[in-house]
Amino acid sequence: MQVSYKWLNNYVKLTIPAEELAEKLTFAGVAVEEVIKRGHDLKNVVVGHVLEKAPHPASNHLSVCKVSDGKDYLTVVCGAPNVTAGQKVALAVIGAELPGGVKIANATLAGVASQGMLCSGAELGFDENDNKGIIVLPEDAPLGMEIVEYLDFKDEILVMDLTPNRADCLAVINVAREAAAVTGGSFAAPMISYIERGHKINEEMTIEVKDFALCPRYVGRLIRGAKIGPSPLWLQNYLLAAGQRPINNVVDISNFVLQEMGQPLHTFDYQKLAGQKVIIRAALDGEKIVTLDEKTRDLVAGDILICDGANKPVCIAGVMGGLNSEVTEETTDIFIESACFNPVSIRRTSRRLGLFSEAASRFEKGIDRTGCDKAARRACQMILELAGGVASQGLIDVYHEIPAEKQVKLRLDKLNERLGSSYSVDAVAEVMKSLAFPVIGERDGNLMVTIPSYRPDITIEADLIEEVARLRGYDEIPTTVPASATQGSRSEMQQKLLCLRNFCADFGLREVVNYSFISPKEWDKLLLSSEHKYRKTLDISNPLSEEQSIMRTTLLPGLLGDAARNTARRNLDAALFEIGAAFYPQADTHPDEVQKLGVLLVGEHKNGWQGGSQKFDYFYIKGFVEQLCRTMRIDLPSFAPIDPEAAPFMHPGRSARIRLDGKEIGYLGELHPLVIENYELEKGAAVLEIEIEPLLAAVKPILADFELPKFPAVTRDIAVIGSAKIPAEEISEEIRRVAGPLLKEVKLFDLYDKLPIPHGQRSLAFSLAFRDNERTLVDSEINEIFANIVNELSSKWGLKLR
Amino acid sequence: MLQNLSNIKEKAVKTIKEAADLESLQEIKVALLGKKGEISQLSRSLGSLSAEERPQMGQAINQAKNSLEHVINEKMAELQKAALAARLNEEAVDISLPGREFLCGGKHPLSLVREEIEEIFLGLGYKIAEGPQVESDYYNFEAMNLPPEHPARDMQDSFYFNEKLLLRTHTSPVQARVMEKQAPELPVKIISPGVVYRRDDDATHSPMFHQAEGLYIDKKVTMADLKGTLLIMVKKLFGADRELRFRPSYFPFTEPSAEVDISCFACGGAGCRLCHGTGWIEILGSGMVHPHVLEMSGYDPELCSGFAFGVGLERIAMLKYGINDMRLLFDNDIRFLNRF
Repeated sequence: MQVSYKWLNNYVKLTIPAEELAEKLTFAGVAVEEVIKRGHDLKNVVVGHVLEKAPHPASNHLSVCKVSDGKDYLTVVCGAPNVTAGQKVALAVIGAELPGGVKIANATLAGVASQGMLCSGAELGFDENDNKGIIVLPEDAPLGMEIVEYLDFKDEILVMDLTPNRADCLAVINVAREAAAVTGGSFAAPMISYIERGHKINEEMTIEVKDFALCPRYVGRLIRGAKIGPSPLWLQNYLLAAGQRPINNVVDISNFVLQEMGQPLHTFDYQKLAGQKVIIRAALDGEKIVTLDEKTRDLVAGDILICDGANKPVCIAGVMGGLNSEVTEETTDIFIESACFNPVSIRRTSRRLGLFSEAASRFEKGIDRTGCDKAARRACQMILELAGGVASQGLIDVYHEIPAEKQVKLRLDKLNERLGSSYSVDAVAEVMKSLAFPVIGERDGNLMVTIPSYRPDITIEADLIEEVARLRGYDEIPTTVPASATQGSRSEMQQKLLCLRNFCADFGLREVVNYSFISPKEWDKLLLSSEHKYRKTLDISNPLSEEQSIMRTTLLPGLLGDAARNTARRNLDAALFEIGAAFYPQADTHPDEVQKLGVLLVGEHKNGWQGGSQKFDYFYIKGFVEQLCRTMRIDLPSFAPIDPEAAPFMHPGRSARIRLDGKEIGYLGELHPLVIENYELEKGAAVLEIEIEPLLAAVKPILADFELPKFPAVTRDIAVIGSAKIPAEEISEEIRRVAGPLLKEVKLFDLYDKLPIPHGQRSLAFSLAFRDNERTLVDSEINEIFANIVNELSSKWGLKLR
Repeated sequence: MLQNLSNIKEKAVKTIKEAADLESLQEIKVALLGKKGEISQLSRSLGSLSAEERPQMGQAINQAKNSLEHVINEKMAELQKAALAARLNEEAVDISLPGREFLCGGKHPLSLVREEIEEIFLGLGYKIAEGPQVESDYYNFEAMNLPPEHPARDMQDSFYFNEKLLLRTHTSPVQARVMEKQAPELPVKIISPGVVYRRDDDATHSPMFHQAEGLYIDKKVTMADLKGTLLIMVKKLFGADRELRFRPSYFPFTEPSAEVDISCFACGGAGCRLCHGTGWIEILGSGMVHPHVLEMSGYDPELCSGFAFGVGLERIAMLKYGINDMRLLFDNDIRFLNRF
């Protein structure tokens, strides 16, 4: 909404500059985004007279004009196609300044000296959209007069940034009411009076509303014998300031009333309405209408139509008029519609058709149903004044019900209790007075307030409390700290999650945040089969793009995208983690949101100039998980071979499923080389993806029921050679089993599979620590256990002592 | 013999003092005091002396021995010190060489901001509440006083899965869920941080972003309390000199509603590029919980009142860390992440 400061002054005498008013309105909750100066920077642009026009000797699209500014004859080179001798024009002479800082100086255009410039409406800042040629002024425009005075368009425009509750301020008079309230001025509504000399309207017109849910009120008035022509300058200026283009007097008047009162009007050529009747009804699927812009529009059930007596659509109600009933140059008899339509229907129709007119934007926010006839009379008065004609007697007013004015109770103690303020009854009553809200009764600090129909946003006491707060200013509300004896704390799970995030960062990983929605194209890059469970996604029905159209079922695509982007920017090594949700649709119920930890390690970590590096491989990522578990007191999970069907994106021989308490909670390992290729990574990568909840549920409390051992441990090393296919963990488990409770620790300390070890075999060396808490162990018993271990490993797997 | 001893001693002292290293000193020690050393040999020859001369000579030999041992020990200490000094000198490194490089990790700026805000409100006695990102229309809109077709729904253009299910556009549904569960028990003091989504994508809007919303409901909670609470928050986040400015605004779920500006921390309020010359920076929306919202979640607006506020974590992170392009927050370039 753009509001002319000049226009406002018709209803409230403003004594402060526009900027100050803007500030006051903003801090009363009716935000002014910007104050645009109109015609302010314009100097030395005068009414000129084109005396001669000659072709430019060197250019086809320029002409050389002899122009009078009332004092001198100037040679002006002009590029506008519409310039002709005899025109009165806007002439910018040397020294002129145009909006946007353009300065006019002596210039030579294609070899011809030019002593000024002929301006378009846009160049003057008069009419932004008038840029096709120079502005042509009426013949009687006084030569030499400053154009800004002649066009009388010096003004300030308040660009409003209205919140949805204040749709009332889509009307200049209601902004004027606010201006009066914030400045202490008094508001005066426009006077409407005229004489109806025509026939009784009932004899000339019929209105039939088929469905009051679609059209709660429809007012019609008629003027016959008007003459269509251009609007006076003041009217054009008001509309231009409001951002609307002047068209002709009748259309301009309907736009003026729309801006002034917030009531959209529609004017029909009365003679084009078959049967001198309008019917307001719901459209049927498949109906069509050609609108004012000469486009054919397909209608659907739910659109509201205005039809003539032959039931032929003549207007899409509240959205756009039909070409067949348009007011044209030849129109003399004008039927004025001032109605109220269903906001939801208008909103849907305007959205579907992509027609966001000033009218539709007001209807969809709801308009003041009580004001329909006032707007119609305002239009009649102005048409009679500016276009002549005869007004028919009376109106046709079809409505089901007009809501009564509401009363809302405002209790002083509640008000002060909510705001923490200490306002008096008088202060509150003063605010109501500034708003012109009648207080119909006051007792013991309780006010009964009548809410004017143009303020439908006020329905309950809290709304009135806000009115007081905003008009007194929020600055007046004190600042206090609530006293409350609650204990703030993270839940156990939140605490653990914080520890997990801290661990990842402290371990050396960088946290990333990726979008929860991804592209369905990721799945092929991850080599997923068409039936893979990750493809069962929750799909956004109105995504911004295919790239962001499905909810992720794994954190992997986001992390890989990060790695790909970093690789493309030559950041080849990266250690990233993300904590976030994956989404799984569920039949008939709310989808599952599973919090996951994803880790992606690309390349390696180099130690620095001393050389050496740690490759981000299976063992690195497994080490991360083990370290995480040790740090957070989680029993080490078990690692089972990956299922290449379930995780085709993983290297089948260098990855594992993670199991905790028998439940599979994730996977880790190196990525499949084809996936590395698909994401154009230049180095290998290791990943981990694990469900957070079961992991953190396994965190054990700290328990230090512990004594230092009194007796020393006896350590022995054992190195065995045998098939490389026997998992190391199984061997250590077997050692543990055979050795029994005296064996306190088994630790692999060497793996050797080079010559002279035969191919397919390897040597594994474990260090064993034995201890009894009650006594010192003797060599002979350890020897016996050791021998048992050697025997068992030999008989079970054929492992030989190295 | 006494003369001989004196000669040996004199010569020995000289050799000891001239000893170049610990090894030669050890050799000298052996040659003098060892079993076959010169002094031992002299001791052995004591037997050839008379009974009167013997004790005198014996004493002289002992004295010489002790004196030489002392000289040797002194020399040894001196040589040891020199050797240690030489070793330390030998071991010296170019201390200007860089140290070993370890992996250096860190949290995302949005996590840092979120945790900072959480800590502030934990300190004020709030609990942290979380909820689903995929929400029902009811909790996201209706329970927030945004019935279907409410024009203010346009303020929060949403991603839908179907008519009933959408990506939450704010973390307010968490408030509704908490209130509904807890009603009518007082107080409700929660901060609900989390991911939210709006159908917007340009230089200043991301379709996914983060919020932290606070809610406090109790008997007689006032708008003055809201001002005081937010003042504590911004002072902690942006420095003790910060001031707040409340502008009336509109949110369907609060009444009265306020947008909150902080005095610019870059220029102190004088006006600069960061605050677009106004001296103030808009940072959050807030207000008194709308009576309808209280009612819908089981609280009687006659018996209690509350305030709520919502702050965008991206905005706070950008202001706090001087991030000038929001897209960096979701781009995950490690050079950017390494800043935190």
